[in-house]
Amino acid sequence: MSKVIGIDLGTTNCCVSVLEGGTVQIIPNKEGGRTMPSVVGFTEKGDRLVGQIAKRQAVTNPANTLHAVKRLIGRKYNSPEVEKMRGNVPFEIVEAPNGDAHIRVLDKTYSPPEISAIVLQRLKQAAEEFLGDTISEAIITVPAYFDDIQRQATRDAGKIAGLTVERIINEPTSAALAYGFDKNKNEKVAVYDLGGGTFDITILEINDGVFEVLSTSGNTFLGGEDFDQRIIDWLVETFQKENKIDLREDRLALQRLKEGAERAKCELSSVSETTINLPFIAADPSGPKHINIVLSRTKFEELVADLVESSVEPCQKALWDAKLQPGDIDKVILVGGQTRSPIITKTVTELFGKAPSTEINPDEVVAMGAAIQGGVMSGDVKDIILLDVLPLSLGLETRGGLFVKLISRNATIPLKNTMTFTTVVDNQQSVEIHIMQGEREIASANRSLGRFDLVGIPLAPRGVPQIDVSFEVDANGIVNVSAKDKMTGLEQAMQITPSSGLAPEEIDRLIMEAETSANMDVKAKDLILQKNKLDSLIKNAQRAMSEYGRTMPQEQQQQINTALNNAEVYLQSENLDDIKMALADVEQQTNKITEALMAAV
Amino acid sequence: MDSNNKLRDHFPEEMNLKSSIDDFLRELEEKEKDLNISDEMVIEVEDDEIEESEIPEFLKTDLPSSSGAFGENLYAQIKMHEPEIKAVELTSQVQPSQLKELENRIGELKTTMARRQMDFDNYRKRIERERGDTFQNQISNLATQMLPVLDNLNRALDAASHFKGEQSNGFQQFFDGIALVNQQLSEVFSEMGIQPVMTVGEMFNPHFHEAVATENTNEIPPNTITEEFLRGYRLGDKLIRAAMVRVAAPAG
Repeated sequence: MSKVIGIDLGTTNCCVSVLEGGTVQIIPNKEGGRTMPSVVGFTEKGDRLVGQIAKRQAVTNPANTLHAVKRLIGRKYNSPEVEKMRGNVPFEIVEAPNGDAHIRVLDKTYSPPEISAIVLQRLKQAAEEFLGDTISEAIITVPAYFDDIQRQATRDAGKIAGLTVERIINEPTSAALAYGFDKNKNEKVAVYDLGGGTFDITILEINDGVFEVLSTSGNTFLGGEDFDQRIIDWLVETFQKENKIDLREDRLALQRLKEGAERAKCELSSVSETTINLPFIAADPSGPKHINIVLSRTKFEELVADLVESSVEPCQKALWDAKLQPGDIDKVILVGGQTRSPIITKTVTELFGKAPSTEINPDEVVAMGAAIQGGVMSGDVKDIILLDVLPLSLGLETRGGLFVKLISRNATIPLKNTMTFTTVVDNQQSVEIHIMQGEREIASANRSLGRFDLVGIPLAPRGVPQIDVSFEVDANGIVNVSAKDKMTGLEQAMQITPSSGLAPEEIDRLIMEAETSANMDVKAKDLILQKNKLDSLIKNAQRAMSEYGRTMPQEQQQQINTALNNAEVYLQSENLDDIKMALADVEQQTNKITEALMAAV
Repeated sequence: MDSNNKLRDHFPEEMNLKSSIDDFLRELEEKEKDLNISDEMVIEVEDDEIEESEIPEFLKTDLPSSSGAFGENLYAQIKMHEPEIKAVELTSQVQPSQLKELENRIGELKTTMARRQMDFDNYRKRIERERGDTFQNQISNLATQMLPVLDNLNRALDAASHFKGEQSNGFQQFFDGIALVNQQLSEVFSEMGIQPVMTVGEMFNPHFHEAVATENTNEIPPNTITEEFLRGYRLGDKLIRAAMVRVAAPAG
């Protein structure tokens, strides 16, 4: 009866939640945040840092600090997305023997699922601390356009982190789940998701608890961070015009500008103008300079107009692909922090002709839906059935490199479909069955899942032999493909198990490794806690000595001070036993001080 | 035989005077105690040892005179009431499927209740745990809001100290006053338990420091903090704001 947690594993941030007492709870992390940056850092000392802490050391350790790994998961090294990313990140992306994109950090190569597992493990820990119970099951969300391999890679990441992934669900589906739906109605929902670094628009159809993705579109390099940058640029330019000082060269000034811009952006969601107040931002011979500037919502909207505009086209494309008019959409849901800006609400309202739903926190809505699905899995929620659908179409490559679909996407699984094919040349004795997944007409643009040959077809003119090809998808997403020559009864078959590119024994090894390093993390945490304790004990004792030490005999004063100084040395130690010893010693000295004080009173 | 004698002493002829089952049982119990009868012991009583005349009077009235006759009597009674029983059965008849459904429903409700109970227990434990942190959290929230003010006051003092010499006596007095206000504010923070994070000369630690720049040098060990851009603060083990720092990196 243990809980199934819901995880939104985002490109820039992630969020974990759980259903408790019938309501969804967002689980805060150790640092108190409700979302955590999807960043992992490796240090020379062998520590693994996650989230905000990893982000803080990115500047000193850029090659070993990994972010946006979601863009690599389940992808080949030479795919266009990975190629684009290679030029943009300071860490090294390498080609694995199987052609997958892997990451090299400190002379060790990691697959993207391993890195995601580190993030997932941290979320799992936070959930366990929050619930006071071990957690072993999760629902993880992925973008609607993820193919089987990317989904399986995400599943593997969960497995490595010690989580059984009960379901992988689409992010827009999850958001729609969080808002709830009328079971007896057929609804079309548009989910507008403007996150930290990516923009996705998805049109869903909800019918009898079946969520179908009608179309999806977006821009993988558009996000809230671009909006902040516009404000920063404007501040820098305005300041330069007035004072002839370029703030871009001053790291601290830039950091303050970034915080000021973020705050102003948030405030402009509720008020029509805000003051950005950054005193003493710079100085020149004439004296200190301040930023004290009013940013109106109108000005802000002017600064970001083209960014907002660039989200409109994908929306129109999604509608077109779904063969729908804006008026056909019953509900619009906003996801991602940036959608809080009124200009987004306004644009979306104009686009779809209706006001979007905004009741649920757009940063948390996806994780919340996943938690609800987790509740369905654990039996906490009864009245929702979310059927599994095939995310992308399955089919074959045929003559001329064309792709023929045997099973269309959104079909509810399990299911089976058969189609008859024939030969293309006279006396053709074998046919190649090339199994592919995707939506494109051109076979090479889709993803290859596997291939086999059916040989021993009797000599015949082209077009005469009849070959039945059947595709069967079972409830676990495993695809069985068979080809049968109708005349001879000759049959060949192949099973395609969803694979992320990691072999099962490799995953088992990674699970072991992940467990070991989780234990190491616990040790490292203990070390830090003990050090902090030692630090404050020494400081307090020193303060007591400086204030009341005089009342003690000279000899004792000296003895205590020496002991404290000796203990201070251990603050640099990495050995827990040493620190514990020093702690005991300082405690002893503190007792002596207290005794002396008591005696003096 | 001592015990036998004792037994007789304890239970005189009153045995025959027992008037109720309760008394009878009570006496039996006492008898057992004295006899030290335990579960393992088997007391064999031969049938013919009990004579009709020895059965206490109240037991005779409770029992039917002959067991066979009693059974027949009951059977006859059931037979007589059969039509009525049938009728009751018909009206209260529950379909097996309905019964199954109700049983399932009860099972479901039981599980739901158990889940809710578990959720509530967890919730309660968490609230108790968090209650201890609430005060700390409030101080930390207040400090987070107040720290930028302290930062700006420090920036003002830094800026003014650069042209101290050129200023009038009056300004100097004003400046010193403001410096005292700054000191007072720092003391308030320190009394709340808020301590600055150590930076320059320390090793960089992302749990407390945020690196915003690096400095290429071989003069000091890598990862040593060389400059503090913005002071960080902590409340005990809890970080309120990371210190923004520059960190040494190996040159070349």
